[in-house]
Amino acid sequence: MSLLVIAVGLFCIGLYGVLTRRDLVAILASIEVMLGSATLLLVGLAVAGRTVQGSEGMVEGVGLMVIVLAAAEAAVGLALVISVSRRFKTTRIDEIVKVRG
Amino acid sequence: MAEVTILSAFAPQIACITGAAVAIALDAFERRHHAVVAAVAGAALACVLGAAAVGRPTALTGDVALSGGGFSGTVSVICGLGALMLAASWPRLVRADHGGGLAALSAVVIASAATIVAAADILVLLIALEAMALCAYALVWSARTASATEAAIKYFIQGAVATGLFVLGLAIVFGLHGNTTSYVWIRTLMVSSPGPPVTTAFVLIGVALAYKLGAFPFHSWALDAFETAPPYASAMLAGLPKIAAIVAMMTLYTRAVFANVASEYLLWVFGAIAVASMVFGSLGGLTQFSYTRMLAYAGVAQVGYALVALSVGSVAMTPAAVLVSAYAVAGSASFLAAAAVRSARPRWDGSIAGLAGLGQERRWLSAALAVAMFSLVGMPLTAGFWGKFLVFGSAVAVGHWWLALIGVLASVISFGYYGSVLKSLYFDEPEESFAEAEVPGSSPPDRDMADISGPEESGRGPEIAVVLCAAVLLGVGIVPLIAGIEGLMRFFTFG
Repeated sequence: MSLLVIAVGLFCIGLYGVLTRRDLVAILASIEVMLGSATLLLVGLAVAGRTVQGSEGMVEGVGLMVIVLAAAEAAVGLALVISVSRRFKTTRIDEIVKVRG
Repeated sequence: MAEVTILSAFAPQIACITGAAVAIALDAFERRHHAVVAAVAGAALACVLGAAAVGRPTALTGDVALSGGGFSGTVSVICGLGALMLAASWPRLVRADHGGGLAALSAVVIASAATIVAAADILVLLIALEAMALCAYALVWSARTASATEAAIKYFIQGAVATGLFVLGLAIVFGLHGNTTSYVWIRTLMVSSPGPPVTTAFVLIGVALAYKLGAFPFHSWALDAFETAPPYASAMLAGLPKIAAIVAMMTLYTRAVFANVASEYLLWVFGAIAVASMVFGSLGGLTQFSYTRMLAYAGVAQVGYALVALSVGSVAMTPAAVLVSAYAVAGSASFLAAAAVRSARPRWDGSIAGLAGLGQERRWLSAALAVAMFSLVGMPLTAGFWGKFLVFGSAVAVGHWWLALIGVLASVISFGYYGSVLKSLYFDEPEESFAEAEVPGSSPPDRDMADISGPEESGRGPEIAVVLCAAVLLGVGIVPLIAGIEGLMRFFTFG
């Protein structure tokens, strides 16, 4: 249960970061924290032996999948951030929105 | 024997993703024409294969990743519509930088949507959703204008949060209870009343799917993305992901999560989102001047109608597929019409009023657009009528008449903005500024939209595609009146 609390707590920290930070790079990092919390939960449960009988390897496999997913998302996200910083000369989201008016 | 069956069951998805892979390879050698051909051919082949598989028994009984043959008709609609949209934007894609890559991205969107529809495993659903979303961000961004970049980054952040919710939900359910991730396992898990963490996890997953759909409280990305995306991207993204996400939600929630437990949850959770989306989408669209932004609001309302089916339960599965497929065809056609109008009137500012007098100028395009609008309203003789008729009918049949009533009222309100398009097309006099060359001081409200059009106009392709979509909408609307509704139901049934 403590694992669940840690993972959900970490997820909420990430969500808080997405909602409050105004810099795109910081928002991206917060999103990575959210995805990392899910990986942590899966791996932690597997290590602690808290998973269901017969799921050996499967939980780690799903965890690996989540890591791949997070990497793909980071790649696309960073590409978008680079494109934003080239066009707007800033990575602060409030200034980008202001440009549009 | 088993492998052969699985291969043939997933033939549409395989054909489509092969087309995408070939397109990427060809784009690397700057063969843009060939790349677009490969992507279109893959999707068109997938459409034929899907249609051929209608009526084949499905495999949602075993521990499988994909329900082979399930929703073949819907898969066929997705691939066919995608192929048509790709073919229509051909000249645009060939001229664009890395146009072959854009064609490949679109083909991946089509393949992932087809996979999501057939998914019978929550991990497969997650991976396909994510593949679709990553391509969608890139497609929205691909206009490379300031407003498109802004819309893409907003879309990305909100989509990434939705993915985070989905992943956390998956980790809780699977980590605590799972040794497989299939829907069959979820169904047996839910019967054993697994406790609050699992219930919370499925709420998280539901919220994530509603995000991807653009249902009411989670819709804000859709408005910006669809308004600023280039027409080939918005036509692709308005229809296909919505079909996929609605069918995925129907399968996951009515056949797995709440299959054996009381469905009052379904009614309250999804009924509330449905009502909010219908009311918000219908009222929000009324005040819009921009044609594409109005269509984006209309999309929110249409998602609401589809969610009515979700709150009814598994009996409304086929009606939901009919409704959302009809929306996808009409919605994609009307987004594509924006490209056709722009090539007819290069100085069009994107407003509904700017369509004035098009009825005399481009008869076929205007008539087709009018059919699409009537289908979105749900007029009889169009496909949209059957969607709404079946969904609201099933809501009344299970006693949720108030959901149907709100749906009908929202449809009536929505005629306000669909009607304003018709009025512009046929009854308003064309304004000088659009018919003639230049009027000082009347620059388009969004400077970036100008460099999307201009020299890169897309020829007759979009117009022909819009007319084809309208013909399909009329055909599907009229044929069941003569031949009976059973054929239509069988085409969209689960298998």
